[in-house]
Amino acid sequence: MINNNLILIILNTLISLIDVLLVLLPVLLSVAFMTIIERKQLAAHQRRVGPNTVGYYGILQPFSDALKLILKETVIPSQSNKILFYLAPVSTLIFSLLGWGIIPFGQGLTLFDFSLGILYTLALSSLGVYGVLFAGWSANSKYAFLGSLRSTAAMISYELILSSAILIVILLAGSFNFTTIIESQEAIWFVVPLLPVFIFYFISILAETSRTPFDLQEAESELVAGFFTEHSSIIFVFFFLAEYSSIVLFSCITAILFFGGYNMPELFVNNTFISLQAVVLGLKTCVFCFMFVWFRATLPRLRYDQLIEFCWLNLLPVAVAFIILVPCILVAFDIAPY
Amino acid sequence: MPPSGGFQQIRYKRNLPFRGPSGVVILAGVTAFCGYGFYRIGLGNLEKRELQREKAWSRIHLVPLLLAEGDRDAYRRQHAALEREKEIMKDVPGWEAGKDVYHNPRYRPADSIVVL
Repeated sequence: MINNNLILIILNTLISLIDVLLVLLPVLLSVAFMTIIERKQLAAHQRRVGPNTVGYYGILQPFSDALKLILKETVIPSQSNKILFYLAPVSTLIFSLLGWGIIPFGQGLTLFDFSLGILYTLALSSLGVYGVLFAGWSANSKYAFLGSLRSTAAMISYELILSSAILIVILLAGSFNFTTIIESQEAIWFVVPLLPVFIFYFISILAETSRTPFDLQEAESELVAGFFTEHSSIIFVFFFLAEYSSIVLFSCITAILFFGGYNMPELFVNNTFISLQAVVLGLKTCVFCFMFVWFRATLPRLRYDQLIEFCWLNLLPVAVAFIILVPCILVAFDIAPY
Repeated sequence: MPPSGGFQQIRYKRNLPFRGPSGVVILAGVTAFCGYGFYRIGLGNLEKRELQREKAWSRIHLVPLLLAEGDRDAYRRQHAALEREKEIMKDVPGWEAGKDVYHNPRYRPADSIVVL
């Protein structure tokens, strides 16, 4: 009896682990390919060829890059706080990967159909800031510390806009659950009633993932690497993976919140053999990944004071105005979800 | 030396060509677009509410049926328990099956059930 229970527990644990791996491995692969897509696409925007020697068309470039970084020497500053120095990149990566736990890839195709999924996502994106803060502080270097302060200030400011935009989506759907939000969009994609909201939402996720034009905490062409100045080799890989993982994650969340997630025109719906829903969600995610790189190729970097002022003096009043406007419309025409 | 009357004013105003639709047109367009969106959202939300109402009322209408089913099941279990007690205690002289342990004739539902 006890033996049977033990075997059951072990089996259940194994099955859960396999479930998680089934999501995590493709995600990590997609993150790897996101880097090569970015380099290829930037090259195309700038009329260059881009990486093209490793593998066909250079598609194995990310693996070669990762191998190179792993084989490099890990340099730890002697006066640094070593535990936090290692913990910071690990926590950043874990927090950005944890977000995939509640993404519905199709009807019922999710690791955890959490009724408070939106809150979970927001909490994780807030916790991601700690990795940045710890990384800058633990390295015991002025540059890393200043970089982390700037990153943290920008991320905290833009998180406000991000959560305001998501709050408006919640008002329309009447639920914190991702699946319910997707189902509410069978009437129409939320981008149609919330077009202005979508615009400042996308601006805020650009800042939240510290991408151009808000990447001045890293500013690859001007400063040293910002908060991870002192991180090298494998722990640098962790930051790199975390950054690209959150780009793909936020593209996916954008597709879910504003573009109907796995919903597709009824013409193509089939429940017979292959579920196309995950493919549809993937394609929508790709569009936003493309937009991330497109903005990087197009827009010049903001100055730091412009970044903060744009957030607090321009975006925040607009966000608050919409938070007031949308419930007014819902109540005035009696079209609230409940 | 500067010419008499000073130099000419420097013309720093940029003369950019006016392109694209005007602000009013963009505002009207976005408002119309969002208005259509809210109209569709409204239809969807009204349907959602109707489905919720239907679900609540179908549950309310099912309550008497579920209660009756529960009562029938409780009665069956009570009798089965009595039979079982009789069978188990048949060798004990003077044992009254189903007699209340509290020596009180008032009805008390069984405090344990056997799932059979």
